[in-house]
Amino acid sequence: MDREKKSILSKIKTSGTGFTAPKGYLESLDERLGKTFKDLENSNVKDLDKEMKTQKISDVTTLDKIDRKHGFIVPKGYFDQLESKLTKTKNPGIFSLNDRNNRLFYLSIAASILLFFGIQYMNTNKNNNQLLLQDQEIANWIEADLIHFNSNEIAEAFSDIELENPLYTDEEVFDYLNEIDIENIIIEN
Amino acid sequence: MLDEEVLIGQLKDPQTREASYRTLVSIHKERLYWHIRKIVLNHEDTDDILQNTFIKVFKHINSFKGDSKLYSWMYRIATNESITFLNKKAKQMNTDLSELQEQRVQNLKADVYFDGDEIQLKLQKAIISLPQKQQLVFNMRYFDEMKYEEISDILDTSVGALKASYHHARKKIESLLMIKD
Repeated sequence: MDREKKSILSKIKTSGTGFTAPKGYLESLDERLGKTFKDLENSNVKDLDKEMKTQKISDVTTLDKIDRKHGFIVPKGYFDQLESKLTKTKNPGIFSLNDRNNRLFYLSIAASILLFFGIQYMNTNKNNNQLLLQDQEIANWIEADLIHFNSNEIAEAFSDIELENPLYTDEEVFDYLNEIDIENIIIEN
Repeated sequence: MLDEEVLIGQLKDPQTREASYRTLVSIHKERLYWHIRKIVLNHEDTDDILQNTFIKVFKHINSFKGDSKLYSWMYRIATNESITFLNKKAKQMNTDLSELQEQRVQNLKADVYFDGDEIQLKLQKAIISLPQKQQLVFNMRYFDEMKYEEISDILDTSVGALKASYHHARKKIESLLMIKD
């Protein structure tokens, strides 16, 4: 039995696997593989080039319309100024050319000074406002006719207040009034 | 035009560095300005970054080994300065880079140094929707019409990758431009 099996297997082995390949396949394999590797290396680039060439037609509708212009502009004479700005000192590598930062620095100093004086000014204004308010209050008081009090009304209003060290005593005032000529007082006034 | 090697030599020589620095500024100021401007979008910030770029070039010229062209090296410095600036700004404002760029594009409407029309404004909006590197590639290729080899030198990326990057950027921008507001 074993001998029979062996002979069949050996028969199959000697007659081949049954699979075949196209004629000359193996002979040309190396050459073809070499070409394939080369193709693979360039395939992305080639495909992209091809795609980009065919894409040209659609470009006309979009990107080419823009005509490769970006729309950015520079201040007039900027490049001339830039050159002199960059080369005006003997050693451009040492000094700071960052003018914008310098500008910001000086601006911040100027802003601080302005702020300081601004606060002072505001304070002065505040005082003035207080004075103005007082003036206004006085004006209102006058307008309300509160100023037209006679001496008797004032004396009545402040009857509870005792005057300390008056210039004249009541007796002195009466003596004075008795002695002077009323006519003269009227004429003097 | 002055040979680049000669210029580099003069920049490294204390006797001639001042004069050659003037030459360097004169040759590269505009190209660098526009490169930075397209990244940061407003004039004032561009002005600051451009000046910082030239200062760095001047300070570090002795460390320039000549592995790439001088202008590529300067472009690299300008690009780094611009991106660093945007990142710092975003951090200061407690926001992310894309949001910051969105704000900056919105500001273009009122910017006296932007005279673009609606479609140009829309293009800027589309550009900032791209990943940062694609933005750079698109700007350099589309606006400046730089060769892939030059961009490759500046961004230290292979030409193939740059082509792919530009292609994807362009496709996305095209589709965004087609969308009606």
